[in-house]
Amino acid sequence: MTKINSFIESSDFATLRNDDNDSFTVVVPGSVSVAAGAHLTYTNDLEVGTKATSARVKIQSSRAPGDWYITSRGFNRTGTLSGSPFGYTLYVNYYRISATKMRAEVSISNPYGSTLVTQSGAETFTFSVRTMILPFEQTA
Amino acid sequence: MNPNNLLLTTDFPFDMGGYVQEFTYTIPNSPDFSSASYLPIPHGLNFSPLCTGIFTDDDWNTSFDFGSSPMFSNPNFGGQWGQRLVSTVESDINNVYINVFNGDTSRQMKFRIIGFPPSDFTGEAISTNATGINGFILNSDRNYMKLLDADKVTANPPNTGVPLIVPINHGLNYVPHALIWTTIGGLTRQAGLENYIGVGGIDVEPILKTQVINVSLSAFITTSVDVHWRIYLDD
Repeated sequence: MTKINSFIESSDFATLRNDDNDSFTVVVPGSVSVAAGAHLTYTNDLEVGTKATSARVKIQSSRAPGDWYITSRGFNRTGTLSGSPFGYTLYVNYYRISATKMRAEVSISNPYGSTLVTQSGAETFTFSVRTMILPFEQTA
Repeated sequence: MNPNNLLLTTDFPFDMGGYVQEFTYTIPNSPDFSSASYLPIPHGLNFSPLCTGIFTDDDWNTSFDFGSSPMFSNPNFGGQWGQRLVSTVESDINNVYINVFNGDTSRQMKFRIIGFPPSDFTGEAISTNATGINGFILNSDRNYMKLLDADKVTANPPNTGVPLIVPINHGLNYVPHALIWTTIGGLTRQAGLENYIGVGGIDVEPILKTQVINVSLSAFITTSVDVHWRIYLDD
């Protein structure tokens, strides 16, 4: 709400304004079995921001705590398929699920015909979020 | 500049959108990546805007930043696990392009895009002043991202078969928020999303660190790449 005594300055160009910020994590267990043709999904929901906000998100894996990524992406890891070493991908993703909540999601897919066993150890993904209000009329 | 006219000053500028638009389209199912929707929209600007934004398929009850959306088992791909809706935004000197891979049924989707002028643009821009309660630009009730640096560099990958790392030093001693884009072959895209819809060979990976942002350009990129950045003081 704009207050009548607030300082307001305008220009010819619209901007974004800060809405909220917080962080949350998703923990992927150290070793799990993914049946042939199945997938596993790990999620965490966070109350952050408001409806129709843009999220500026930094994503960090506990495997490389000094590195932060800024888009949803896949992290390549090694497990076993039929007992032999085999690569798989952790798909790391985020999105707004309601007017008040965002979801962070890490999933593992096994499109192959044998059980995939992840063996890369427990891993924590941290999502540092800033939600931004875009210069559009807010939706109800 | 006459100092007697100065109303407000800051050491760090705020984001100023040179392109602010909202679109609604009906997006058909994409049975494969080659049939993803590709929507050119003339922007009428004299620069290629650095675009970002959000989209929805349920009138903003849920929403997704470009490049993000829930995963699902895609029946078109034999149940293969992947993102249900994939959308990216890109631009050139004439158009903004919305790309959408819709793994689900045909549906109405809405897109909200804000684009920044490139750091080397010095010309006149068209006003994007919005209207209504959210049309104000700067209000002391609110906080705004403080821009530390906005610039670009042209990288020429040496075609030696190894990725080229483009370092962007910020020296903050903490990991700031940043927006990164690339321009390759005249198309400007958000860095990291270049390959999202069936485009191969132009993987870009920005990695933020406490002193530097390393932008990795894949070994398969053999043309020059403009790397644009906006680094904010906000962590």
